[in-house]
Amino acid sequence: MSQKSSGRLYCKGVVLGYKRSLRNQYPNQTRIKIQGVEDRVSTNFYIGKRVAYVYRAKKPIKSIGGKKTKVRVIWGKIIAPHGNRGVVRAKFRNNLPPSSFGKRVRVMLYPSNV
Amino acid sequence: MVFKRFVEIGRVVLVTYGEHRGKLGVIVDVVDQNRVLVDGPQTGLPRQTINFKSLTLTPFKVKIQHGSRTGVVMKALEEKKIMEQWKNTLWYKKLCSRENRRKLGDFDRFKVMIAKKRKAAMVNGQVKKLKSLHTMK
Amino acid sequence: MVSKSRDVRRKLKEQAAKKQAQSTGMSDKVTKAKRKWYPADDKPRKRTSRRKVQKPSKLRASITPGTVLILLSGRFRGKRVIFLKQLASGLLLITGPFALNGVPLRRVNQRYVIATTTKIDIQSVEIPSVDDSWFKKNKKKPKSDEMTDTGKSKLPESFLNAQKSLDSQLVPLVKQVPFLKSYLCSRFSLSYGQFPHEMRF
Repeated sequence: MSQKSSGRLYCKGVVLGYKRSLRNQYPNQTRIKIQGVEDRVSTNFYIGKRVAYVYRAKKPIKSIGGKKTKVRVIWGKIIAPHGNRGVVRAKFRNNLPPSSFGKRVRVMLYPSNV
Repeated sequence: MVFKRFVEIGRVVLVTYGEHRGKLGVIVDVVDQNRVLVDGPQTGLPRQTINFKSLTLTPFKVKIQHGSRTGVVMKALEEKKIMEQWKNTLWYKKLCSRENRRKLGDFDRFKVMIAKKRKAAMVNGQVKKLKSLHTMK
Repeated sequence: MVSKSRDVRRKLKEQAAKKQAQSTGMSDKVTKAKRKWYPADDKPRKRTSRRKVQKPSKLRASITPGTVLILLSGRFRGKRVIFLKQLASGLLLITGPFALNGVPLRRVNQRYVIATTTKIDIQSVEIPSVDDSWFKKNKKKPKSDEMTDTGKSKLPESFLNAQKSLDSQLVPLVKQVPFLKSYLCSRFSLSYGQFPHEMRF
């Protein structure tokens, strides 16, 4: 069992859209659906966890590793539950672009409270 | 017969949804097309009406009259030793093992994974042998 | 309520001030009433700094010496390591052991770690006297050695010896528990159908 690289250490989530009422939206908070979380009680585990929206762009930029990659991240964190069905609200350092709706988001397991 | 388990007075049921998940009860009366009055004194299921959607019928049946009180139901269950029969079923054992799997810690999960791999290796090894024998024939 | 006149109130104040001066035995200079000498510049009031007294962050109840931890981030993410002790800075001192999974003596923040319920009894293990200054990076690089420098700095002997001695104590303990060695050698990851809020570690 030789594992050279790490496996998935994050939960899969999907960006549903901005926090909104019927006719107004508030882009500084996004709604996120985490896979496997179906009720409000379960969301307690994820509150405070860091979230990463990973996307690709045309121009390579310098990353933390020093190498230039086309992969970019917008970091954020889960701040509160949203409704009773396990949806969660997140705030990102920069607001997520609308092109992220329906796209994958990574809910990390840290800061851990286990 | 296509159906073997019927909704009838005395049918033992398993509650599969809600607060009383996993408890056994007996159908004491039928309310309408969707609901029954259920009582499960042995497992702590209080006497109440439940929708069929939250129930599964078991192969066990008990002889009671419709509307029987909890005490009577308890006696009937004890006579037929329903709990013993239930605990001997594969169904119950599967439910138990599912519960146990949920409670496993990280190390236990690792050991289960190794056990599964070893079992699969043994089974696949035997299958390969049998296949090769078959092809040789 | 009878409203007191200004004179009455002033008298009461003076009486109270006198009483306080008498009870504490303070000299006239300190009492607010009359001062003969004032400093030229405003002296800032010295406040006791809270930051000077820094306690290490409270260790979670689930983390005790000998607990197997799962690292969540960094170079060794996913690796299962053994917790040794909490350092003065609040960071956790951990090791793989290095001989098993390549994680050396290392500091890690509590928040980037999942504590499993698996524990090893390390009471008999002598943890090398390591503290935070051990891990401080040497920022000054000698420029003259650029030609001979391979780029990788060699660890001082004390590091390697400490690691070796620790490993020699820990590995036998690990081998006593069936499957624990391969458990520590493997990496943690989430697979399909596994949701951490439902899982027990």
